[in-house]
Amino acid sequence: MPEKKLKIVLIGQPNCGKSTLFNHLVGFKARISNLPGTTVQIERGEFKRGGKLFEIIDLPGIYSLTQGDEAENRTLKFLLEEDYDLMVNILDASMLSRGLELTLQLLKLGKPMVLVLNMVDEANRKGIHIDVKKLEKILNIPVIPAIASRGIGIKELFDVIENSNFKTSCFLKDLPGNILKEVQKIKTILSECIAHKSECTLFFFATKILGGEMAPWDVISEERCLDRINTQISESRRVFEKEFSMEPEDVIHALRHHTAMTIAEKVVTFKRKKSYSIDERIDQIVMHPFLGYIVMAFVYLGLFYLVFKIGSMVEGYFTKPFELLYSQKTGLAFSLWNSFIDGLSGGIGIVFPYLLPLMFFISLLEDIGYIPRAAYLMDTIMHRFGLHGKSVVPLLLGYGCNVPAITATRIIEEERNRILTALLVPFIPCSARLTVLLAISNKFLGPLFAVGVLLINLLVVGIVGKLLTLLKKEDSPGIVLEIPSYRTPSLKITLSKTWLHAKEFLFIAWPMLIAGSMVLGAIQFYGIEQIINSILYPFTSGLLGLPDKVGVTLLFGILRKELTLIMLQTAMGTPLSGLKNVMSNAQLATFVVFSVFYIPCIATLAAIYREFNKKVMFYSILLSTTVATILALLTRLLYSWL
Amino acid sequence: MTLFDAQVGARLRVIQIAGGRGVRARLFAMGLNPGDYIRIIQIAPFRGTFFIENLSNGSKFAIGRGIARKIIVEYA
Repeated sequence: MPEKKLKIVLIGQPNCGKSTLFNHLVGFKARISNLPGTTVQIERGEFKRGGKLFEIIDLPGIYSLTQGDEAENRTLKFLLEEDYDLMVNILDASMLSRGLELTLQLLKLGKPMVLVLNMVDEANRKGIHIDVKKLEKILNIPVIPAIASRGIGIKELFDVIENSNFKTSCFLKDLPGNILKEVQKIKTILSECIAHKSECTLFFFATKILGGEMAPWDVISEERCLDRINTQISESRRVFEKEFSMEPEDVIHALRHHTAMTIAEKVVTFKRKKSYSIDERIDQIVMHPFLGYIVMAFVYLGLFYLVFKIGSMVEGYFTKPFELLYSQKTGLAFSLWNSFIDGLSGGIGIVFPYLLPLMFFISLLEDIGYIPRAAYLMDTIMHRFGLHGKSVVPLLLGYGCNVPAITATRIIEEERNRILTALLVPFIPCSARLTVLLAISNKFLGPLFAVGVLLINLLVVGIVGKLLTLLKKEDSPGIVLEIPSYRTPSLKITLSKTWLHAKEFLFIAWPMLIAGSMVLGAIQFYGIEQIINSILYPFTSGLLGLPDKVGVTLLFGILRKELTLIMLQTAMGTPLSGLKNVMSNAQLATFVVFSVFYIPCIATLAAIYREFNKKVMFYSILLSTTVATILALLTRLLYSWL
Repeated sequence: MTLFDAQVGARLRVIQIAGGRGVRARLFAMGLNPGDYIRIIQIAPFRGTFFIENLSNGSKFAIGRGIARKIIVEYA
């Protein structure tokens, strides 16, 4: 008999330590960060305990069950439509009252629930002590105090899960009699129109519908029912208008807020300890109106300098041994073999010296809590481009890889800003393109060239952003972004996230890279590349002044940008160090600039298509190719003028 | 007065959040409610973004100028 899997969902507000807990339950697989809204995808994992199999689902962090950004809509849809056995609500104990507002909403879903009070140590540091037993009694569900980052409370959670000690509590105490009466009326109609939903869920729908957060046709389709509901809604709204002179959703929210505060007051004892000001002292510099930008420039350039330095120091050790493997013989098999080695060593030459350090440092910045601060500092500037600081988050992630960056645009609420940000993301050179930039700068053009390209790159993002905004004008109300506390990063967690990024490269990109390299080797062996090159000749040589051999390289670079450098070597028939014999500095610079900016790789295009549509994808291709051509031309002109 | 016109560093009480349902729901859910005590920690230069603290629970936010104009406060 197949085992029945128990499905458990994790849900909580951003930055409550949800993903850390997920990792403890399923092993170190999920991504953790001190960045509101990182888990925009729903992650799943499995674990076995006491002979039972459990599936665990990590939902995106949300502040409330109202509809808002993409993450919130997804989570709400999941909670209402999917089947699961237990909700584990994780709450930042140092923000008890705010967290409870979500908890109160979740309790109305009528599903078994456990509350995990996470980060009790941080709460204690703030002088907040919570009476867990009392909270259990009020909410009528198990409450587990925990410090997920140190694994405290995990065993207790496991015990509750294992014993299937599940409790459902339909908490309605936040609705006073006169409102409950109106909700009840709507619920009664719903119960006649909807089958297979618990009483509690119907209450939840009724409250949402009355509050205008949910349309009646979201849950019922029968016309007769809709008519009845609509009549009842207008009637109830009139009652609200008369009794509170406020919109129903504001009344319901205010009551929930009040209830959460009252509960928090009942269970919390305040013991003022030493002042909590380490954050403030750091922020006095990091968030300073002037120093903050200097710190940011140092962090940004320091990040690339470190990667650059480490990369160039160790690169040779990784790629040298492969040079012994090249065959000197001629023939298709040997040609393919050499291309295979090219791909192999090229991948290693990217992963260890550049990709891993870059991912490690970006992960570290996320985990510390620096990225939302950078978003605040950048908001002032981004606002001039009609975007806001939240766009910084996907753009910065883009330096790692554009694909997760496109996904990360989901944290932006306005569709217009999402699309604009997604169109800008491909202009951010991902680690694959950075390796091309860094390696060629490192070998031939000098570190200043790399710094220059990175700074010009930012300028281009700004200018293109501004132009796009002019085309699609709309005044966004602006940013609302939580600035979380600084956290001491855990090496284990930062490393596991670094590994996660690298793994994607190793198992998806690298094999493609080797295959691409071999395809190119075969094309070259049969001399087909001359046909492709001659078709592209007017563009590559005529317009950009590049050797005509790079045509194939640029064309296949679309498959995977990290192929570019290896394919360049294959195409030019020389290892990296020999490139300067076949290409002038001007040609190398033009080539680098064009590769950094032109068409995003296939995987990024697919991500744009998935998140938006074909139109946005084509815009992205058109935009990036145009910008890349203009910039490459400028580089060519600049070098001829120097 | 709105948060936009309030003095940096002063203790403020949120009276109301004017503005569309989206903005209101977002601020509410993030824990900025009428009745809360807040302060502006700083405003970024060149007519920049507001950095505020909710004194009731210590949470901090970056808030755009447009949003700051929608938060009605009084000195407390």
